[in-house]
Amino acid sequence: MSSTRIQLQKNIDAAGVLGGLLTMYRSLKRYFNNTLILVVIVTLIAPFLSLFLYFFRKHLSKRYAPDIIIDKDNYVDYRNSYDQLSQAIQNIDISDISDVDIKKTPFYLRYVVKQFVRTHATILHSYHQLGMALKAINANAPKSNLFTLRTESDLWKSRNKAYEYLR
Amino acid sequence: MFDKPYEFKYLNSTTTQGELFEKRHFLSFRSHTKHRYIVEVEEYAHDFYAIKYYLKANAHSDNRYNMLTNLKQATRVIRTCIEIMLYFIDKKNPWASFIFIGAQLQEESTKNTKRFRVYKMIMENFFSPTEFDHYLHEENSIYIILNKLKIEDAPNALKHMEKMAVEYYNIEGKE
Repeated sequence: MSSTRIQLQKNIDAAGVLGGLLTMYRSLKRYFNNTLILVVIVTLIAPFLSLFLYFFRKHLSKRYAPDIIIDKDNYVDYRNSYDQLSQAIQNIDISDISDVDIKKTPFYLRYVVKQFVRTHATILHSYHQLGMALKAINANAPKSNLFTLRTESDLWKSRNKAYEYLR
Repeated sequence: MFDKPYEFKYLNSTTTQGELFEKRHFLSFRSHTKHRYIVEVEEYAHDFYAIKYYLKANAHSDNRYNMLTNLKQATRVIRTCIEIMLYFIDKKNPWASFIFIGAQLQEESTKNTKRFRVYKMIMENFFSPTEFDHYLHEENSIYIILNKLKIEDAPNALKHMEKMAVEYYNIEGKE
């Protein structure tokens, strides 16, 4: 497995971790309807969570491999990674967090929210980068006034994943 | 499905005159029911190839390419044709691109024919977009896989195929 591929797998896993944390936060909020209890719990957890998210994000960005070169040997792996990453990102809908004005967040949660949003941005960046690399597959395809070019994405969506490419 | 080809053999080739293509290659294979098939590979300019096949028993019929055999061995026959494509790419011409015209059955129009849908499905499943650019013309049931090596070598190759399609098949452009 290449270092880029390992890094992408880390992003997929990181998205899973963020999704888990978000689910936990929302479930606790629902379970402890009493805001005071929630504040107490979050205050106790917040310092540890801040520390965890700080190192987690650092680790995620440190080994970031910027160049993704897709060829016939790694295409299916990268394509599957892209789909997994896409699914993982959909599972962490942070619109209710990212829209929050961080300055208005209680001080004990501010750092956690900031780290969370930054980690999410790192994952999104690698998702977009992989998307660009996949789009580049068709970059040099000749334009035609007669024939319609089928994009990589269209071909991938249409195909039966049980088959292996022969060429 | 499509996982068991028949063993084929290359027979010969003839150069042609007065045809769209420059050369015609002949190959044959025998099915498990002992029926012999003939495969014709037409070689066009700019490394384009078209594959046609028919049952040898129908060799003298004008409709030999369009006749349904009812032998229920289409998937293995098609897989054999895929192997023949790979043979051409590997052994004869690494720049080879392929064009398919999905001829209509009696009750069909030329648009999105049953054969075209089969060719489309085979091309998208077996030929990677990293190696070939895929093009189609649904109105006339034409599918093309353009070899990326050829694009590097001759970026206008597709234009020549377009010109031929317009001139000989009366296909109109999108504009």
